[in-house]
This record gives sequence, structure tokens and C-alpha cells, in this order.
Amino acid sequence: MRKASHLTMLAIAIVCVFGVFAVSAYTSPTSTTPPTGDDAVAPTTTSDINDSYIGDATIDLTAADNDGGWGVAYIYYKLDHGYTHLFTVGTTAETSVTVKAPAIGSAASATHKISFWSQDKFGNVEQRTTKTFTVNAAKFVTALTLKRSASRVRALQPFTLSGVIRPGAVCKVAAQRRKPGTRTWKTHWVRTTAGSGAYSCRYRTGVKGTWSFRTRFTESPSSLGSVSPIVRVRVK
Amino acid sequence: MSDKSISRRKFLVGAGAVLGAASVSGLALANRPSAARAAGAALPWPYIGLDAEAVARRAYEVYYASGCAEATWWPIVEALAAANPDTWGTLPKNVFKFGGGGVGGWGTVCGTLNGSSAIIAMTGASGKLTDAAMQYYAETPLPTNGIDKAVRAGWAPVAGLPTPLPNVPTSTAHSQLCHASLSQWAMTTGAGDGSREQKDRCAKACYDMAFKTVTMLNAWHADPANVPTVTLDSSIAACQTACHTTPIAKGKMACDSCHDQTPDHASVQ
Repeated sequence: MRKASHLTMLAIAIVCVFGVFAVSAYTSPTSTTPPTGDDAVAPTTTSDINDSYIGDATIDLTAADNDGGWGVAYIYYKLDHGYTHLFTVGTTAETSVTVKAPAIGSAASATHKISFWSQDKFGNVEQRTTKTFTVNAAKFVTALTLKRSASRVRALQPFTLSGVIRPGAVCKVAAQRRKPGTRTWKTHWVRTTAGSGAYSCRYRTGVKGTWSFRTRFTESPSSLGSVSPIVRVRVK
Repeated sequence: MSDKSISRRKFLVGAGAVLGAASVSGLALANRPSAARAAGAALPWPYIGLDAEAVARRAYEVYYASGCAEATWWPIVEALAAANPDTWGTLPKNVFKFGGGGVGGWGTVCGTLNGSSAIIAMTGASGKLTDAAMQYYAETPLPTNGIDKAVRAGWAPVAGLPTPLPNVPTSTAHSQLCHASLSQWAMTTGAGDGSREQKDRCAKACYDMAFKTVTMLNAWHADPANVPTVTLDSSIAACQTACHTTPIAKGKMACDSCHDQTPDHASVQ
């Protein structure tokens, strides 16, 4: 009788423990049980697209489903007259599209049309969003010059740094300086060149010593002549 | 004794077989339309409102036996036959089997549109319904996966047929052609021709087109004012009306579904 009672108690305890585990597993927030009920709302896809690009364009597409929705299943995009690309969503509803620019030096641009949309796990398909954008050939330079208006100046005496980029074009150049006694280049300004490719800037400093300056063409850093020769100015 | 008994059994079996054959052939004859009935069955034939979902599910099933055109045609015929034995009831199965794969596998018009257009015409409904079916097929992301709802509710196709794959990727064909629309879907999904996925897509397209057809027919036959609005693709006006006035053949199909020239192509050297 006593033995039977112990067995009964043990059985009750096992049932209770397993019961608690079973209930907690069922209500666990990490449960992968598919959602139930209807979902009538399609997801929404957004992009970081720009109107134009210099060099290859990379467009990120991100999709999100409605609150309480079944989640995003697929992201689609179609570029120009090509076929529709499919991205099956895993852990993140994001994909990107890279559109190659015309070859460097061709000075050409190409206009493209991209459509993108998503589908949720219920089967709702979003209306397409269509955008037009231009991809321009990356600019290139063959020469970037830098001159100084003086090789020696007094502290706080202004001097001019100027140069030209070839072939002439409106583009950005970054001027970099190296303080006396340091080895690190720091960008201190970015200038947009004139149509002729010319640029200039006045500079002054109270820090005495020999300063080094150079300019860089930042839009296509690997192209020939994208860094100017170094010029030095001694501040007394 | 034993021989006698066997002989009796044989006799009974033989007699049963004769009687069975007679009754089957009798039934077959009874189901056959008489010449008078067939002669009197001029189109259009009567239409009664149908359960679009039930017809669409049947279309999914019929696809696996008889292809897409028959799958969009026969389930509607079958549903109308019971109430109309002298008209719809006279039609045999598989009349539209020829239309599978864009007519005998030629990849021309999608069989679902062939079957759907035939039914629409046979009921005497407005040709605008055919236009709407054509446009729906070309401009809707298909398959809609609408059959998923039925599966989730516990429906399953008849034994031996594949269960619909859940929530498959969709594609918009921008074409009524079997070849173009199926290729578009296949290139998007990477599924091969003849694969389980491709057959699932086409079976679901039958579901979708049967559902659309019955929904339109129900609405039109309830009130002929229920004519769907169809706006033809803008490329038609741009090409056929603006420039190609003659001698090209006219059509309602989007020009740019096959031709990818820009509108200014005549002036581009």
C-alpha cells in the first residue's frame, strides 16, 4: 500500500514536470509554429535608390510585413527588360542589386529602370514600385597638380594651394595635410573643381615647422594620377 | 456433382456478365444525346451560378490528368451538366486536351485562356470577359497561391495527386503565351520545365483562371451590366495607333511583351 502510494506520487510528479515543460514550449515566444488566421495586407519594400550614380550603383532593397502579418517570404526585382530576380528571405528581408557603370573613360551614362516588390508568407503580393536612375561612367584623371604660393611663410600668414585636374571636369578633390613631426595624413578640406579642372584654397596656420600637402581625386581613387605630388611649406 | 455445380456457377457468372454488359451499354446509350437533342443545342447554352472555389479546386485536379486547357474548361462543363443534360451534359471529356502546353506543346496561347475563352463564348457572355481573362492572366502575379487557403482549411486533392506546394514564388507574365509566361516564371524561380514545381505552378494557374472565369460568369449572368473594365496595355496605343497603322496585324496583346524597341526606334539610326 505504502509502495503504491510512492509510485502514485512519482507519477504525479512526472506528469506535473512534463506538463509544465509542454505548456512552456507551446507558449514559448521562440516557437516556430506558423501563424494562423488570414493576412490580407501585402508587405512593403523600400530602397535607398538615388537619381544618379557615378561608378557602379548598389541599390539596397528592404522589405517589411505588416504588424501581425505572416512575414516576408520573397523579394523580387526586375531591371530594365531583364527577367525577374527572386530573393528568398531567410533571416533578414534585405537584398541588394548592383548595376555596373559604363566602362571608365567612356564618359557615357546609362539610364535604367528598376521595379521591386515583395510577397509575404501568406501569399500577398505587393504592387510594384518602379524607379528610374542613371549610372554614369566613373570619372578618371591622368594628372592632378598642386602648387603653393610660397615655400616659406610666417605663422598665421595665409598662403594658397592650387592645382588642376586633367582631363578637366567638375569633380571633387580632397586636400590632405601632414603636421610637422607627424606621419599621418588628414583631410582638411574637399573642393569641387571648376569645369576646367582648376581648384584652389587659402590656408594659414600658427603651428611652426614644415607642413606637407597633397590632394587626392576621391571619385575614382585607383585611376591613374589620382594623387598629386607632395608640396611642403615651412611655417616660421 | 462438382462439375455440375461449377457449370451452374459458370452459367450464373456468364449470365451476370451478359446482363451487366447489357445494362452498361444501355446506360451509355441513354447518356448519348439523341440527334434531335444535339441538333437543338444551339449556342449559347444556359448558365447557372457556380461555386467558383469548388470549380477551381477541380481545375487543379484535372490539370494533372488532362492538361491546362481541359482543366479550365471541363470542371465548368461538369458543374453545369447536372442541371443541363441536353446541352452541357452532352459534351465528352478531354475535348480541350489538345490545348495543353499552348496547343499541343507549341507554347502559343496558354491553355487556361483557351479553356476559359471557350466557356465564356459558349454561355453567350460578353467578349469583354474574354478580354478580362486575357489581361488577368498577363498582368497578375501568378500563381496567386489562392489554393493555399483551401489547403490550410483541410482540403486535399483526390488521392494520388500532389498536394499544392505552399506559397510558391509568383511572376507576372505580361504575355498570354504559354512559352513566354512559363519561361518568365521559370527564370524567376529557377525551376525546370517538367519539374514538380512547374507542374504545381501550372495546376495553380488552372485554379486561378477557373476561379476568375467562374467569378466573372457569375457576375455577368446575374446582371449583364457587370462587364469588367479592361484597359489595354499602353504599348498598343503607342505602337499600333501612333505609328504602325498599316500594314501590321492588329491585336490586343501588349506589343512590348515581344518587341523591346523604344518608342523612338524609327528615328534612331
